[in-house]
Amino acid sequence: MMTAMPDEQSIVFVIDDDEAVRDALSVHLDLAGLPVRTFASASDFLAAIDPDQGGCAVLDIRMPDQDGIALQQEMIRRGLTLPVIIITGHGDVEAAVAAFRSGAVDFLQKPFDEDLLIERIREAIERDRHSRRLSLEVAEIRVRFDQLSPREKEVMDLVAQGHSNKVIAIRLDIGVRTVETHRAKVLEKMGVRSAPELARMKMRLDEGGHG
Amino acid sequence: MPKDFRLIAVYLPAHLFLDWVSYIHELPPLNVTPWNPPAGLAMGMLIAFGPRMAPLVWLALTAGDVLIRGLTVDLWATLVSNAVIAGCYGLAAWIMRSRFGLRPGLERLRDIALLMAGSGIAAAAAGTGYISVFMWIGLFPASEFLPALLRYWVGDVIGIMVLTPVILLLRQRHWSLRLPWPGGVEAAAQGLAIGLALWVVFGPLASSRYEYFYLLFLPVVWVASRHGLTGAALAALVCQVGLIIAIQSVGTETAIMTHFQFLMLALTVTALLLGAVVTERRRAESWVRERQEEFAHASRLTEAGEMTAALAHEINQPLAATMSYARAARKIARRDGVSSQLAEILDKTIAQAERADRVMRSLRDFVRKGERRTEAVVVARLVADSLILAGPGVRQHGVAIVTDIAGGLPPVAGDPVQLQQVLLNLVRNAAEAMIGSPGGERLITLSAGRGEPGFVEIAVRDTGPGFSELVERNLFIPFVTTKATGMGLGLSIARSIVETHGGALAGYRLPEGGTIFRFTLPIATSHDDRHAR
Repeated sequence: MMTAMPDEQSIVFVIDDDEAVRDALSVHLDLAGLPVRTFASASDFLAAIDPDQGGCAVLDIRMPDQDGIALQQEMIRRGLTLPVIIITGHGDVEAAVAAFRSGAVDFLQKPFDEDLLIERIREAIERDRHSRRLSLEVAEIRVRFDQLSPREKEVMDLVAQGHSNKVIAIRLDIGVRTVETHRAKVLEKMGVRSAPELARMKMRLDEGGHG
Repeated sequence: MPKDFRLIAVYLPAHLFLDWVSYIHELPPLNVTPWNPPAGLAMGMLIAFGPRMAPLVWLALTAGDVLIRGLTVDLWATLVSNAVIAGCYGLAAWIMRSRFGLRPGLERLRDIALLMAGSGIAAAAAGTGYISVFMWIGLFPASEFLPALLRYWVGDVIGIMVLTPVILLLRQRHWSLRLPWPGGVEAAAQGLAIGLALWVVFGPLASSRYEYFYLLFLPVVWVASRHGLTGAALAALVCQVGLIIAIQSVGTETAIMTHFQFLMLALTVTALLLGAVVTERRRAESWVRERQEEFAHASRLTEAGEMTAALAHEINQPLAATMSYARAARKIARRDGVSSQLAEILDKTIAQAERADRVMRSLRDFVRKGERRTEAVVVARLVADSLILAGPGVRQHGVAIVTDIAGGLPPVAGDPVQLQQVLLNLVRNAAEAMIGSPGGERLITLSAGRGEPGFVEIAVRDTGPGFSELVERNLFIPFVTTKATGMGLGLSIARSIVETHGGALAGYRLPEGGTIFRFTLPIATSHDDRHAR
């Protein structure tokens, strides 16, 4: 019934100004079977990134043109939902706190073990996939919901709240027969078979409605 | 008390000896002489050890009257008149020390001035009381009161002026008697010059009016200007002793003797004041020199720290990449099951790289930990102290410095020595920029005012040639310099100091030429105020 899992591959974006550090990290990610793209600066990354591309970004907090925190802020401003892992300097607690405050999903202190980073990356990618799947579902529900007529939307609301046809008929001041027709239409248009399924959809819609 | 007994054992004989040698040209039958060194010794004792010495002084005076003058007047008059002297001098010493803050080390010009004024008044009071007692018992007619007082006064004052500073300075051990070889030669020459002057004044070439007395000023001024207060005090003492010996050997009458003592008083006062000025100036100079040395040491340390941090950062990245590559290689070796020897070597490679990394990290931690005092620092004082350090080197190149400190600025929180270093670096930089460029006005303006809320902003502005855009971008990067000498760490150090204080430092080119560096410092909180200087 529902569609379409995001079938494109998740990509790990590594942004670090040091070429060797970047390259060595991509070797590790390759070995772990994770597709990787590297960028030397925040601006290169921002120029190349496709908002629909799933995956995870790994940023060094210390970079010459735009540091990790600033890049993270810029990504939020541009509506890039990619989860961000920030690499902070050794013993730089303040930077770690700042990274979390700015909304990074994770941070690692140098020197770090690549296997630990890979583990964190996998978690981040999983989270990203999950949230992308959710938002995709919501988008699809919305497309269907938009096809309903105003009256059908009212009926759907009341059905989702668990009211019987009779109650709905009284509430909307229409005949029970008419309600039954609307209900059948709603189920058909929304692509579900039962009222509880409709209720779940409505909930998704309300949750994702603002975001 | 055993210390007191030792003091008595030294003081009493010394007093009696001085009384005995100086009992010349007296006002019979009293202890009124043109030169009264026991008064100087007594005043020295009273200033150094306090008024509790007054009874001892009284005892010594009385002992002198009994042993040296054979108690020529009534015992009670002797006891009372000596009590007047001991009381006046004891009181004067106490007032000078506790009310006027006289330092027994005579470290400042005001100590010498105070000693002069205090002993002048004390001698007048003591003399009035002393002579009144003997007028009371009918030893003098009232008409002789003033001349007698004058003779008493000049004798005591000259005794105090010549001997008290020597005693006080001896006690402070501010001098060393072991002169180095060139110093010894100079001291001998100075002694010779005093002797020569005395010979010209009193020798075979002298007239009966001794009008060459002023020649004595020359060697005394020489000594005072070279050796400060200590030299002046010693020279005055040598002159006085020489003068007395010369007068005695020539056989001058008492009236002329008193006249000489007035001249001698003028000489002594001149020498002591000049000596005090010289000493005070030297002390100020050595204070500045010590601060500069302290400072140079601190800057060398900061520079070394900054260099280490910069180096550690530069090495850190390639080292991290090396470790990362090696770990990747080890993974591949394990995965592909290639030779176990290769895997082992990679293990060792990683271990060694990690060891180097640990060394670099502990080095950076060490540098970062540099201790910093935080106290409330008054901005005007910070600026003034920094200029004491920077001023001399800068002004000699014709660079003028003006300051413009806003009134009512609150103190800032920070380490005064580190903040001085920031200002010093900025001022020196500004000066060097202007010295390097030909012509034009050379002016550094140091201003301070309120910055954004909670901060004070300090600016150093120069009228130099400014810097290029390229330099502007790299201003604070370590090891980047436009100067022929220097490591390019000055601004980078200044910036890291300002930033660890919670402020910010930035430099700009001015459209009208020249540059300005501005930095902010947080205003001290009440917690910092407790350490306010």
